[in-house]
Amino acid sequence: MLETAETSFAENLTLSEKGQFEALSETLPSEPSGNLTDVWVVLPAILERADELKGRLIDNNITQTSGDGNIHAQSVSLREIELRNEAIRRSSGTREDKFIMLQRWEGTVTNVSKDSFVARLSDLSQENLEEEAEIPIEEIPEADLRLVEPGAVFYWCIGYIDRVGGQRIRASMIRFRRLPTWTQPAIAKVKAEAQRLRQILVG
Amino acid sequence: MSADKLYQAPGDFELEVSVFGPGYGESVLVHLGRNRWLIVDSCVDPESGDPAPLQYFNRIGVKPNEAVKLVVATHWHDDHIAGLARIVEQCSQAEFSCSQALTCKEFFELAQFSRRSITTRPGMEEFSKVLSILAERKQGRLESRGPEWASICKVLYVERDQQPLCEVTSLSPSSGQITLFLNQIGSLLPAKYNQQRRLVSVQPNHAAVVLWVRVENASVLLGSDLEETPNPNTGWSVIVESRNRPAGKASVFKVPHHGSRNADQPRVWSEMIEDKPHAVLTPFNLGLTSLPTKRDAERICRRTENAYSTARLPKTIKRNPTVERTIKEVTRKFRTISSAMGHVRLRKAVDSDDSWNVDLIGDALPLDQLSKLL
Amino acid sequence: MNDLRPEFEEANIVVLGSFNPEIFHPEWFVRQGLVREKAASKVNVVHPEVSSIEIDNMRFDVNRQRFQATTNNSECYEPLRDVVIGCFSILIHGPVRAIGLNRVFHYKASSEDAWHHVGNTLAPKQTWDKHLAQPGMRSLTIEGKRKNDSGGIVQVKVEPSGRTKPGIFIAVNDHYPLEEEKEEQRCSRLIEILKNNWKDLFRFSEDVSKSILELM
Repeated sequence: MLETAETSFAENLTLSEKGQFEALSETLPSEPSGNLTDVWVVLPAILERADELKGRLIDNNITQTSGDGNIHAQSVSLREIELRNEAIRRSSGTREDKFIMLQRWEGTVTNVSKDSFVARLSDLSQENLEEEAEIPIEEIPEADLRLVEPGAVFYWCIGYIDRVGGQRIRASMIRFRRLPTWTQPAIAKVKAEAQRLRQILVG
Repeated sequence: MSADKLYQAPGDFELEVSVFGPGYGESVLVHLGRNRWLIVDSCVDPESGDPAPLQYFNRIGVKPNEAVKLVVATHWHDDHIAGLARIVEQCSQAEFSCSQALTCKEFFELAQFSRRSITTRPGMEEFSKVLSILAERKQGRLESRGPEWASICKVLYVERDQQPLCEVTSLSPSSGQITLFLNQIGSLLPAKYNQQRRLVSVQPNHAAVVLWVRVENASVLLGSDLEETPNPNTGWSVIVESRNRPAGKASVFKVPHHGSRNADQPRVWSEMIEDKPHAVLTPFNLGLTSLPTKRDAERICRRTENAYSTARLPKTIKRNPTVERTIKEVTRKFRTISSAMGHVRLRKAVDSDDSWNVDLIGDALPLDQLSKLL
Repeated sequence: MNDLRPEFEEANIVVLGSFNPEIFHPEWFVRQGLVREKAASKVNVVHPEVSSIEIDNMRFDVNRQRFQATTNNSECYEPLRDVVIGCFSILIHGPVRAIGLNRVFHYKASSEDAWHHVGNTLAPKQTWDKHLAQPGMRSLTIEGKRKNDSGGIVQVKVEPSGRTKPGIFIAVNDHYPLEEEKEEQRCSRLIEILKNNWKDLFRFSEDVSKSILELM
């Protein structure tokens, strides 16, 4: 018998005859959209529970109170939320747009001018393949414009979007990485380690 | 030449200068005689992912942990230090040297910022690993002296007892160059609330270490990436003018900064280098202009007929037609940087008047041929 | 050899620890600079016990013991990793005890015969024929260590796909316990794992998928 990992992979959403879910392991990349057997159908009991839950969780407020003014510490299963969502998706027959990746790079901006920038590109599908491109600024989404400066890192993907309605669109998407900022404690740590090494090597 | 002969180690009294360059990156090996080796900078073979010097040593049966006496990092730009940490690790008996400019607090901090940053990329992070290895060694081994900090006219390695006698001297940086570097580097440090970014190499390079290698009566000038400046206290002029620099002229010249005009100082050729030397350069395919330009190549070819390049022009990669179409539509310019690895190897007997034997391995080619392709 | 694209694929990151689900609101992600300011978002629920939101093509499901980030948009695989790094850079003192990097694929088989052949190869029928009528592989899980011995374990699960028929479902879980003494050190290690091993997960899961599909 294998011991399952805690953060294990997609759950096998097989229902037992009682309609219970058996999670194979603790940390499931719980996958309501995952591997559902033919046996699984939307269970009325689950939906009912989810609706009940929805009724208590009003308008996504952070704190929820019942009529008696108490905050209910409702024991909620993520599974229930996800199944409800999936059930609604399946019953309504909604699909999502699907992106078919053909090529992707990670880029580093090396130079910025008024209407374009130059970037060094690493092909993420091939080791040690380096390229360079000059890209017009207008290719950058508005929300990312403030991030365009030397040293900034971005992803560039080329592929097709298969829309829900059936239309296929060729797409080029640039997305700048949003990375943590340097905090005072992090800077202090860096400086302390630098000082330690310098003391040893330089004196 | 057969593979067997090509990958034979040099003899005890055979001098070798090997320059590796894959179109972005550079590394130089010098055999100082009697299986004593010098490694200058590091680059990675794009095909294997291994540091070029270690790969070559493996092929010729040289054990880096015994044979390498000195590893020099001429500066911190990522095209010169890719794979350097692995080299330093494996060359466990070698001394390590880098520019005295890098002893400043700011450089050590920059190295640590790169190490801690989420934006992983070989470059300054590599240097940071090297510093950690050296610090551990210094703490663990009483005889370990830590890095040799290179500056103008400083002897980094010498063999005075056993022939062939040899000496490795740094010719830079000068105090003027160190000052320029310090002015430059502070601006690269991130501040509080700055988003994490990658370090982008700044030009020109003021802290580069130029090396003079002498084995018996043969000398080699390794020009690193040092550029000339109008200031006589910096650049190449200060080296040419230096009264303490080693005497003699070099018969091999590793042309600085990929043959660029900015690094050209005619007095270097006339006062420090023999007539018709063997000159080697590594191309650089990054930035708005590739180096060498056609004019650069022609200028060097006019100075010597024995000029070589470690790499050709990079080959354009063929991709899915949809991808290529989209690249054309989205970008104004698009090109490959990495080329296949090339290796120019020069060998000659120590104390011989014979000319150097030249092997052009991989994508290496005579510079006049590259010039025609530019 | 099969050169199939998956009919469906997903990547997600699961972190075990102790969390406060109600902070994971789209506004928090925007305010912290983790996603684009005008990113499309949807709140399924935000509650002290559980939060489930979608933002910028990524989904976050959090309860008190578990944080899960998911995307089935391949353009968002690296951004998903970056958002999780961002979350745990901010919540650096929060208690975490394990992280799992996961990939899921559903491939359509070229034929029923090819589909059966995969099952028969991975779990040969002759072992079961004498005991059961019509035996078939329902699920196979293989667990092992990483070849580079970077700690933790990897599990690969193969099943008939419930999404596409006939199809093969492949899931890879790359699991790392976080056992450093101090909580801040565990978060730092979590961030290092995401920084260094995310790419490896993709390479490994694609290699494994290729090996399995070659059985068709």
